[in-house]
Amino acid sequence: MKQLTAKRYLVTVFGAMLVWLAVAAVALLVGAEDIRSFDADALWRVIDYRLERVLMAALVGAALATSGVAFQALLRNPLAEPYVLGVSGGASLGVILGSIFLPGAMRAVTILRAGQAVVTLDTVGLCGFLMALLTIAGVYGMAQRRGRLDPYRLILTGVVVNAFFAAAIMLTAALAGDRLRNEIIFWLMGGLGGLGSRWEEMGLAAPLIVAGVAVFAVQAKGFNLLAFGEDTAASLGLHVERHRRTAFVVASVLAGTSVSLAGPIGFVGLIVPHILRMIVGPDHRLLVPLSVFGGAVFLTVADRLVQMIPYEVAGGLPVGVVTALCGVPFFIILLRRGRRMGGGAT
Amino acid sequence: MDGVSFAVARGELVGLLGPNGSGKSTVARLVMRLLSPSGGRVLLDGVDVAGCRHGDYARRVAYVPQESRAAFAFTAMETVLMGRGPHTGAMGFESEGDHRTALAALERVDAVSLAGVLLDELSGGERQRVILARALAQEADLLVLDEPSSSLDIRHQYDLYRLLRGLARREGRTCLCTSHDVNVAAAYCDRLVVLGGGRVAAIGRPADVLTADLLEQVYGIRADVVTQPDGRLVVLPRIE
Amino acid sequence: MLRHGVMTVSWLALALALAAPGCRRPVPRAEKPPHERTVVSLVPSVTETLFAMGLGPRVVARSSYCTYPEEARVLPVVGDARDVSFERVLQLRPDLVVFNTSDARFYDRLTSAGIRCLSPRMETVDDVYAVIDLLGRELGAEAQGERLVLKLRSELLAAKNLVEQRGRGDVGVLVTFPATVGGGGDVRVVGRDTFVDELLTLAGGRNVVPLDRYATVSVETVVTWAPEVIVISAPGDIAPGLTDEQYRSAWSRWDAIPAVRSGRVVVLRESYLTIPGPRMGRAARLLVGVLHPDGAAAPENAAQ
Repeated sequence: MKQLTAKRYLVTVFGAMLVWLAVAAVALLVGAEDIRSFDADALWRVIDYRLERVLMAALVGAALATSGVAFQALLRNPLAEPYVLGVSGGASLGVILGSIFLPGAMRAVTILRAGQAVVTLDTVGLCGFLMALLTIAGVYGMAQRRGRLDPYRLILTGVVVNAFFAAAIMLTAALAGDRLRNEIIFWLMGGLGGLGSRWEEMGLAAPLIVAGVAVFAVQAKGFNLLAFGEDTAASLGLHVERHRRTAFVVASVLAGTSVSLAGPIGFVGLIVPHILRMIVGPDHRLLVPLSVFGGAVFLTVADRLVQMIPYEVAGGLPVGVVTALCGVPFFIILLRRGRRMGGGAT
Repeated sequence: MDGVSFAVARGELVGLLGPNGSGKSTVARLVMRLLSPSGGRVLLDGVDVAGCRHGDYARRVAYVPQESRAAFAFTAMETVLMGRGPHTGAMGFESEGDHRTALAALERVDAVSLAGVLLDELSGGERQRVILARALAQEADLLVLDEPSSSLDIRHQYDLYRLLRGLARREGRTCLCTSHDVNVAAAYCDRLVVLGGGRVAAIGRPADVLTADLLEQVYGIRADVVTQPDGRLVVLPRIE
Repeated sequence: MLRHGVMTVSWLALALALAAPGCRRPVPRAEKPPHERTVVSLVPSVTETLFAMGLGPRVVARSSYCTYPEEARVLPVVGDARDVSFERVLQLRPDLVVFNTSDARFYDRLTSAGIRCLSPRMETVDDVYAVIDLLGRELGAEAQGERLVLKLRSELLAAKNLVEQRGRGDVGVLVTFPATVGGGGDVRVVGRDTFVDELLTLAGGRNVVPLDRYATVSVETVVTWAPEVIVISAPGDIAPGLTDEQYRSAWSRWDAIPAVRSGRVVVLRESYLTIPGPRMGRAARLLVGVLHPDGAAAPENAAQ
């Protein structure tokens, strides 16, 4: 049993990054159409488009996977995932309402103008993000007692908040016309990519996600300690309340950002941490950085698979469908194996 | 609890006794700063513990809780290595020295063979020893143990207390143990603090403190306290 | 003897009285002559057609989606596409109800109340003519029906002629419905065997989509199809949606596509473009204008 030195850490992280880079390179070469069928000019555009999608998958996948790791540690429950506390419901409702009510002129607000270049902000996504922040504040307010965040109360609050947003979204869909309802249902399955350029949204989200992941990397030691309960963790030097608060906020912000960008893609935050635990064990110091690349790879592969399905068979399948379909065999494997999956009771 | 006041000297093995609800665990948690006192203070080396920083305190005081289950599947070695947490940096990277310390701690509790085993697959007693090893790996001067022998069989109970006494005598570590078992505590502890009715009923050496009257007053049992020829103190409850 | 007879008669009367409500045979209502019949229309294009035939006064109720023409809006609403108030329909005592829901119970309930039900197919140009004829017969308005059919036929013919004047057909066209919710990664397109497809062919265009009905494809696929004109159909009936500029700018980076390169990305907001009805003549004319702009020479790749 080896100790985790800085060197081993860096080697592992670097190795994971190389894996992701390899997957990303391949992903640029496969897609909806054979890459050889494009002439030089079109090829450039298509590669750019695929690159954007790969980066989006990396951002969203990393955010969801690390958020999943954090929630599983925070709630001491291997079945926790980023949407368990209702942030995805809030972000989804924000995006849906923004799509319905924001008039076209307000959809893309120019925030920066430098000569010819214009940077616009997608206000619909922003609606989702703001709603997510409100939800985080609401959940925190409801779940905390005398400044303390208890895992059980968090889960219960999450159930309530999720139910609330599910009802609100259902209400919106029911009142909407047929076509809008179909679009809402479709969007709720989650999907990457966009016809127009999404570099600006990614540019805004990326620093947030990178910062969040960095926070988790430092919190990882604390996640290990929390696995033994807050008393033990405190006795080993962890500032439990501060750690919990930070983890909760950061994990929720990452989840909310993902949903605002790409809709509520499910299962990434649940499956990737578990698969990584099967490979490297439950040590969060490794899980956090590996989830970054694990999530990126998982979502990139899922997105490519979806893109490669011929449109005669099933065009425009949302990526969330593939991740959900992965969930079923995953859970079967989870049930049959026992080792290193999750631990004992809380 | 009201008016509980006692002092523990360096290098002492002190047993904290009392019936259920007398506040034994509360005292342990107060020392661990898991609770803050509504009145009065806890002093470590003369300094109020309330002002101590989290990391510093963890290097000076170690905790062995009564029951320990992990939410995730850590091995014994990984668990003991967590005891080095207060000594590793923010990222938690461990050195060769940390590894040696952890291994040595496992040796001391006679659990090296369990190093690669998952914590959940250990028996209650084995798990307790691993947790104790973790506390030892912290290299703290004070160990606080909450009912450490409650899940151990009789042999391991005595092994544990013998180990604690060894730590106290040979390494000068202070140990504060809460206990249900009067006899084991009496056999090994340097001093006993007996709580009853929210206050201290008696403090002193086992021979001085454990009397039939005290047992009746605090625990509500009628017992005989017998001194064996070799000096062992044995409490024999009368069976009615 | 008399008492026995009275008893029998009473029992018989009682039996009849009890049995009568059990009879659920459709009660034949006094049939009105066709030119007096009233109609409830739950299909927007049928409502439109009725008004176009001058039968507005005969329409007594509509669905919530029937918002054209303006005069139709004052009519009482009895439901939407799926959920229709049976009681309200009965209250109005119409002679004819036109709908296209597949709710068999609704059909049965109306029929058993003596109301004639029609659920005509209205998906192609020929369907429109057929429905006009049908409505004309049902409502004693054959003459108005014929006039409308004639008008539409000539409008479509005129559009066709215009195509021949302006240039050869076979302009590669893509018709797409942009998504309202979220960014929408893939492109929703209209394929063959649809009304739009028919109009496109009529207007001298060639639908680049090789599929039937509707599909969603990746932008990469659209690049391989290389349409010369992209028509963005955004009726704006479901949500405010984006501005024309925003729709076009979403495509702007795809200048590998001929349509984008030559700036022929058009946003059309008319709902009659995609729904068959009496305005299809206008729809055809509109498409001709889009595909073969006034005075433009035949596009270079029409020679393919």
